Amino acid sequence: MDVILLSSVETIKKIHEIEERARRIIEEAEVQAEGIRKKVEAEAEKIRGEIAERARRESEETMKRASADIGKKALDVRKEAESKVKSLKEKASMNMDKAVNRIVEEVLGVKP
Amino acid sequence: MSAEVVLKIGDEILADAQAEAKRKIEEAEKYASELKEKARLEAESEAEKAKAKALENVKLLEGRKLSEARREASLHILKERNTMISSAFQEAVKRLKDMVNEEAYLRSLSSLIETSVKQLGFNELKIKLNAKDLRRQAEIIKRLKLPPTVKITVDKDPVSALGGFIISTPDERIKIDETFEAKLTYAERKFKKEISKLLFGE
Repeated sequence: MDVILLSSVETIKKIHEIEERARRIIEEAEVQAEGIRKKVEAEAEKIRGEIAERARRESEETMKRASADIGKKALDVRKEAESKVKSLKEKASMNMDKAVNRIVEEVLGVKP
Repeated sequence: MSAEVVLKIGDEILADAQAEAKRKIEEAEKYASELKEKARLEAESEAEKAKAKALENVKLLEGRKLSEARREASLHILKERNTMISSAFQEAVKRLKDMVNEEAYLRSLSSLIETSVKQLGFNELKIKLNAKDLRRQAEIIKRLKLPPTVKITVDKDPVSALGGFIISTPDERIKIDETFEAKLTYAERKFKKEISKLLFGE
């Protein structure tokens, strides 16, 4: 097998070329890594935004559902009160004579 | 130096460079993956806090709205009850207006005057009547069963009342107001609970 010998200048030149290629490989990798970092920062921001938006929608939905539910409960309270008033009116109508007699009795001091 | 040796050194340099490049890219990818996970976890935690806050607000809102609704309902019921109780008193006034023409009223008047005379314990007393009763004062006085020592003078000025009387010492320092109006006012305070029980059967 023939051995090719290189002169010192050629050797230095060759090694310099190789080192230049190596430097470019690393530089390209650094650029690529920087690209990945920049891209991921935007992606992370997007993730934050999406989750925050989803939480906002869910909270809004919770409030909307709760408002309807509260409105219904408040309406039930009012209906219950109306029903109670109706029942009181019926009783008052039935017992009005008794109550009036009692007042008249108190004023006159004798049973009317 | 032989070309083979130079080539070998070159390959080693390039292999190192590629390994370094690979390491840098892997590091960036690891950083990316960690940053995304961190962002996701932080955002999820914030989202949970926001949802918990929303639920807390819902509970507060529910408590406030229902308490307001219950308070309004209670006031409404109370107002209606009072209206019905007032109706009973108004009805009683109507009935009393009609009764002043009846024998029962004159009997009541006599009985109340006799009781008041006893309560006051004076021998000289003055009595005030409304205009209608003033016109029939003789009939009223005639009905009274009083000790012979008691002398009653009827005031000529009528009292503004539906019925009843005001009895007093002649100087009016001590008096008992037995007019319907005074008795109704008293009854409304004293018997409101009782009338409420009678009306609503509670």
